[in-house]
Amino acid sequence: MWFSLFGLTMLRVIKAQGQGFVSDSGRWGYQYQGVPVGGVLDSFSYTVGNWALGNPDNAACLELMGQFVFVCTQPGKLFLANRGAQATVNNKVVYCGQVLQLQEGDLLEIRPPHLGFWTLLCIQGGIDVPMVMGSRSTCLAAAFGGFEGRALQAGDCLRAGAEFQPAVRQGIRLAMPLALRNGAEELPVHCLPGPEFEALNPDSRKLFEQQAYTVGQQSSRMGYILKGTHSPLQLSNSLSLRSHAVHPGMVQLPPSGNPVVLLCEAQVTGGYPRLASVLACELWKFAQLGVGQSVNWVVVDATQAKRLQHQHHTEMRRYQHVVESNRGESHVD
Amino acid sequence: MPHIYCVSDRAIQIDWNSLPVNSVTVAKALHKTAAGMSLPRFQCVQADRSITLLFEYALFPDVLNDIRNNLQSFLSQDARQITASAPNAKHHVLTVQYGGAAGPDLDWLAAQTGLSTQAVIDLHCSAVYTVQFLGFLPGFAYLSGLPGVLQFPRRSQPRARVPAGTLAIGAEYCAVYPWESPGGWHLIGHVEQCMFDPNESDDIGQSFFQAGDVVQFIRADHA
Repeated sequence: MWFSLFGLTMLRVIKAQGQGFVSDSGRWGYQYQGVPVGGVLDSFSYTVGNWALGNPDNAACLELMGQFVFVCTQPGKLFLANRGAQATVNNKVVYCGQVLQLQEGDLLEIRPPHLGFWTLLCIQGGIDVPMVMGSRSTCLAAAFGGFEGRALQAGDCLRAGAEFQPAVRQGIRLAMPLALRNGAEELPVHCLPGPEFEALNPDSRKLFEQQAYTVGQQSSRMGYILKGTHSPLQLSNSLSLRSHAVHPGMVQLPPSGNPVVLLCEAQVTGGYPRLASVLACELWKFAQLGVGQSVNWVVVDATQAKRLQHQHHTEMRRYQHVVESNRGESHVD
Repeated sequence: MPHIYCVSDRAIQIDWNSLPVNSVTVAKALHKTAAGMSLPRFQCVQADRSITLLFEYALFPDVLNDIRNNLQSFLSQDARQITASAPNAKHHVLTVQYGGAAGPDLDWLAAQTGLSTQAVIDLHCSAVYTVQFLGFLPGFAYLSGLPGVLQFPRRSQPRARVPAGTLAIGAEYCAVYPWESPGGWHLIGHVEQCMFDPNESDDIGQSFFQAGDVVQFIRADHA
């Protein structure tokens, strides 16, 4: 660890048209008290972004939906972590996957991304807001954590933390995680069958994997509503389940017959049948989907799941290797 | 013997079908056992007659299944001992301002039950409630023990805004809304107590209600 001689990076919000939050890997360990895990939608890109900046693993970043303008009030390094991010610095286009050096007075403008809704902006040192219940993420349901427990507004000043290692050298561009090469295609998502999968009627059991699902209008960070392109799914007999714990990645079936995949802000208990659960290592992919785009389910068994988990670990290690072998020297630049 | 099964690549659920299980005691026993089994980090999330072991990171399905098997043998050996041991629950007595602006459904409830408003309040105060689990919102506790006469399905049209501190009933449960939020329960009164303090220490817990706690209500005009 070393400390920047320039002091703390500051970003001042000039324009906040949409929703922007301070976020991190989430508030794990308090779900038994009804607290959603929260944290970033795309944990994969977030992790790589923090590595690239030399940040501690849990450094807080910004998740932004809509149009934002920041002015830089102290020099510092930033990193657009999400694939498809659209941004300019002083009206010059900048790209995701590379370290951006900002100087005092620079204007950073964020526009909605090409993929999904959320821009993931990492800052060297992380956003310095108080840790509340083990996390700097914003808990919107209860208005605590993050920046004063609320969404960002024009005039807010964000301070960066001072602990970090050297970042990846400038000019190096990482190919950030990409869920789907072509947005017009269906995103295949691997899942394990859930406890109530067998409660689907025989037709729906077949249809589950055969049909594609489009992301519905009512989708949010709590969950994406997935409408079957052929027909809604049906149970053999109506089920009355007791409330049980749920977590991000679980695929529930509400009475509408349109499955819902729970995401980071999901409630901690639920009562709908659990058809499947997305492999944790693939959940980040939903961050790159927008309303109207399609997914299809690929149900896997334990062996296939293990192979996919291994593949993901390998990919993480590959990113780590690329980052480590391209770090700048530890002097102030 | 409870039913133990893997829910995903990071959760194992334990369902009790008949026993009125004391989930707090079981959760404590599980954590103690886990220390001996050197399990990866997990938390116990209670729900309606179930406990889910939620692991911090995803595990390989075969590893998770081994843990499931170990839990099965642990619970079959120690189940009796666990469910017999007494809980270390807190007992809360909360003062309620029944009816008025905070309890717009109290009269509706009286009409539905055929009781007077006073009788509904008396009945609600006469019961002893137990915190079954927390969910929906931080600090939102599902209290069991609501008298059968007062049990009604949730509203078909949820309200867009229910103020923090509102005492409400929904199906077989009673709850206090810890935060302003949308809500589909029947609103009967108001409680002053802060239900969730994110700045409280982990030892005490941020939620005023914890699973296993016992709760009674008294009317403000009798307090």
